[in-house]
Amino acid sequence: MDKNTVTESLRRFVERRDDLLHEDESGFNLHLSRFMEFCESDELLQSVLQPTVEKYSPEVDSWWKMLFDRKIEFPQNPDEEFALRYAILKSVNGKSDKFISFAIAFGKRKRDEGVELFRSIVLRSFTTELTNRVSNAANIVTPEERALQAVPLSRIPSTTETRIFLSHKSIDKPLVMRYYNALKTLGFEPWLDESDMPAGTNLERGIFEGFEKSCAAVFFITENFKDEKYLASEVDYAILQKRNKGNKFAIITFRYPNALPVPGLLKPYIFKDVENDLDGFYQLVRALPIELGQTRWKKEVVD
Amino acid sequence: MIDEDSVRYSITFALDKDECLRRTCPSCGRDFKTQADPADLASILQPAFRRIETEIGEISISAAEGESSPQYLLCPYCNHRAESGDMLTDKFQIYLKRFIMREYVLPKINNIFSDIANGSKSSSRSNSFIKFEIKADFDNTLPSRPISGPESPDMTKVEMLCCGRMIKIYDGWFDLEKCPFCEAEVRII
Repeated sequence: MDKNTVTESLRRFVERRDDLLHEDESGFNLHLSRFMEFCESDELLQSVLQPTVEKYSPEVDSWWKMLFDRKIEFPQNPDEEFALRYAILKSVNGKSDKFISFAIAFGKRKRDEGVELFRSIVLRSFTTELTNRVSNAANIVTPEERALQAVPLSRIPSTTETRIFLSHKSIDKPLVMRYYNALKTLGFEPWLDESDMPAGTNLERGIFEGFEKSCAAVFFITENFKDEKYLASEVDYAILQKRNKGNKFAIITFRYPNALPVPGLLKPYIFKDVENDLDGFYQLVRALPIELGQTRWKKEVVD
Repeated sequence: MIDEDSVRYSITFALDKDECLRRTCPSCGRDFKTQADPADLASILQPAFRRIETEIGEISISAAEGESSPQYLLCPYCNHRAESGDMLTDKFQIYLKRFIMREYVLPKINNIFSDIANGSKSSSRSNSFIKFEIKADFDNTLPSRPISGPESPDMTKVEMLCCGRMIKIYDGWFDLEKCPFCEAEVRII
């Protein structure tokens, strides 16, 4: 059963149950017949009623006989009691005179008094129990669903400020490509080098624009790193971005084994000695000022 | 304020499988749900009780936690702002009314009639001007106690990252603009 079917079923159940419990005595027969018809035909209700009714075959005639002897008894076993109450309801459906019998058994005379007593003694307990059982059944048949997330606007960056600038020496490109690919696979947007610039862009200007669109700059200090030329400019641009963007920009420096010391200008920011790429990647994701959204199935899995 | 003469009742109402209470926006009429927090119950019930007091008249009812400062909610669809207890469904209000009628009002009325009948029967007498007799014949059977729920497991859960609370809204509604609780501007992404 899907969620909509269950919802509709519960809505109709509550409506018919409350009519039966609370509407005027004069319409009781009609409400009872509508309620019973619903119990017999609705899939959710049947999933609750049928197994119990089939398991116990209540002796409803004996119960009525005992009632005329002014004895009211219900079985101790809750399932058996539930099945008997349902059978009693079936036995009065369409038989108005049964309520007069009910009234007489309690020393009353009027049909309306019998209906009120019937509601109080038989019906109320049954509908309470049925409500609990239907509620549990509805919860079981509807699957758990993941929650969506409502993110405060202050935490939603624009698409032009979430790139991750990977600063490196050309000779270290194989190392940096491993980070690039891993970041890309996870859903981040790394900025590598001239390949991320439109053709014909002035290199220095292109690098500066790359920083403008970034929320982090990652420096890979290997034995090949030298704080000169473009790399020196990138250090300067990173510091400028940090001043402008504050907590929304991170300068992250990884020092690989055998590398020279971290350049002095980068020392005030995050720097780690990393043993290998996995260690470096872990530190990188932790240090970023952005995070990815909630877990979802991959498109190709559900299509 | 609950004094020594107060009578206490416990009331239960149905939540869905995620412990959410169904509500209706009084402005646009659409349903949503909020996660029920026992600490909020007084503020949920108090406005509803006030409405019933006005309708029924001479009774005074309050949530056991006493008067609490009103809590407000925003409708996730139209941003209408109202007291938490004013965003209850019609069904919930009918349930509350039936509960109060059955547990409080009708027993009280029965007692009053019972007192009148007993007093009249014992003091029915003639005097020099008039002789009167009251025949008391009233039905003191109480109506069935109302049942709350079951609450259907419908709607889509939305976790509010601004304040950490949870709401449920119609499936397919993504135009949530403000958090119903803390009123922060949000987007479902």
